[in-house]
Amino acid sequence: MATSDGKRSALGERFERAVDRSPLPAGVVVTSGPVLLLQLLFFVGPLFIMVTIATMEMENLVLIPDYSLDNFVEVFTGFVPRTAFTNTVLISVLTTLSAIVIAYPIAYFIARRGGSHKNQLLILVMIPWWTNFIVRVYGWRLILGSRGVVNSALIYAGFIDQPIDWLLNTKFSIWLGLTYLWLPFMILPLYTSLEKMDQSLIDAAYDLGASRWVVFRRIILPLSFSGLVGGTMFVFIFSMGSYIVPSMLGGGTTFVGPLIDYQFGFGGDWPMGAAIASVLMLIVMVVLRALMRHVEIEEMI
Amino acid sequence: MSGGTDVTTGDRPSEMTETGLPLRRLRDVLDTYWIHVWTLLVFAFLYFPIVVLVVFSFEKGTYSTLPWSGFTVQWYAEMVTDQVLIDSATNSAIVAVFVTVIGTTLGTLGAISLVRYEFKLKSVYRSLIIAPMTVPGLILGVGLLMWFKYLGFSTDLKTVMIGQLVFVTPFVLITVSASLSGFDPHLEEAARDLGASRWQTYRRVTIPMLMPGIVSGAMFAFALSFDDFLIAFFTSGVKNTLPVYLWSRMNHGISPVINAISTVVLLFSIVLIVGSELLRRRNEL
Repeated sequence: MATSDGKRSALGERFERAVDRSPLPAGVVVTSGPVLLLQLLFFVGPLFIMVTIATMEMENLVLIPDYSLDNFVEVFTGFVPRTAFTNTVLISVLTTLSAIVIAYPIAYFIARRGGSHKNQLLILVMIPWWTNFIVRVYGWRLILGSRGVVNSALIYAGFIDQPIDWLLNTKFSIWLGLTYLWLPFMILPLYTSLEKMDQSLIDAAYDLGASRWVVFRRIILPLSFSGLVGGTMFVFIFSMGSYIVPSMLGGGTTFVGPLIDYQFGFGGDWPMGAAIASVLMLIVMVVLRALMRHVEIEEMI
Repeated sequence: MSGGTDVTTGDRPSEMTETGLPLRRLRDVLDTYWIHVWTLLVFAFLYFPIVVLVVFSFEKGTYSTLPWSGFTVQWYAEMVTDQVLIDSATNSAIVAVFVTVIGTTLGTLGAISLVRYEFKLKSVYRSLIIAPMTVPGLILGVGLLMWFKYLGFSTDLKTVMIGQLVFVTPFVLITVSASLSGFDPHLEEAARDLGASRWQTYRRVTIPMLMPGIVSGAMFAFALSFDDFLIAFFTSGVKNTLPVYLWSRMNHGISPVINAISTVVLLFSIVLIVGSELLRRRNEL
């Protein structure tokens, strides 16, 4: 930084001449090289080792390299992993659907009627997303617990004598927590696509006598489709891979994330954990591939 | 609130049914304002746990229950004497600063190659950038755990930094490339035509133009790193970062001190995002 531009440029000039002769421009190597190196070493590497270890066995915390697909068979046939995947997929689908229903009106409101407050409203949506995950999930434990805000308020007001026990440590609380946590990821892509929409199309449809539902189905929905796909992608994938919500709010509900963690911790079966994680990874990739064709991920952020 | 025209209701002919007047009034009001009410409810939902944590961090009772039993700052007093908390917050700050500096540098460089160069295997490069953002943190966490074990790295703050860089750098890269693709390459050509070297062009034209994007990328990086739990959980070894420490405390039962710590953490993040937004706004003017 401190060197003068003159010195730098002489060096740069020589550098540039060398650059122009190489088949891969040095600019590319310098700019993309470090990122590529990082991702190859610490992203591709870990995924590779994960799939490899998934084919091994573990005894007394020592890996035994007798490569086989037994662990993968176990993921699909074993009762616990199968239950975990069923629960996780069902709750993730439900979370995605509820996020869509909750997010559409508010995204529409901010995009089309936010007026000069648009930016402030958007920041209000984004603030929770930027604040610490586990802290906000913990907040729900205070709300939903048997002595939590909801139960104690209802008892105090005399509506119930006994705390409602399905509020926490159930599939319900996992669903609620996931919907809560990923909602901004549905609102923001929807907002982005709704904001670009041409108002005159909607006005014209109403002028021609379309009902509100028809306007939504025939105009708003198709024109915000990329946002919908983007939001669905985020919410579904994040829910599938979630760990914090199911372990903090789910009680003992069998769920993929906590199950993977268990295999790497008390379970002491890394290969099994790696196999479950590999299958999860595969599901995520399939969903991504199916949905990515409809969206530009760079536009979403 | 409503700046534009009212869309969903439009000029619908009022129906001449025999419903009583107050009921029809109510329906008209709902028709017009349901979306306002909905928006308000969603915001209430988004901020509910945050408000609860803040409110109960000042509550006297050990259990965070209603009715309210009195105001206290006792939990904050306990918080500041917690040495493990201070140590883990310090660790988090060290990690976040490192990840921000390196991640922003790598991400900015990477963005330049993504937007400005055409090269073979660019699609592979693109997917290697996008993939780490889409892989669940849990998978990356356990993957890194196995990888570090395989490489013989002992896990501590160093490994947390490496792990976080894997998913933080792509976010910076995308943020910067968004602002990079928004500016006119002719400005750079003009600088070159006027005799500036490639380096001078970068320093005097490209970097200053990119600064707002780089700054918001850096803030993004800091927030992501500071809040990261999953990577740190699996790769920090015996060291604690703030979220890892909070996690272990939360799993040891309810304590109002957690509410106090949470409030401070929330406040910190909110200041960070509002600050970065104001900064961005100022740069746009």
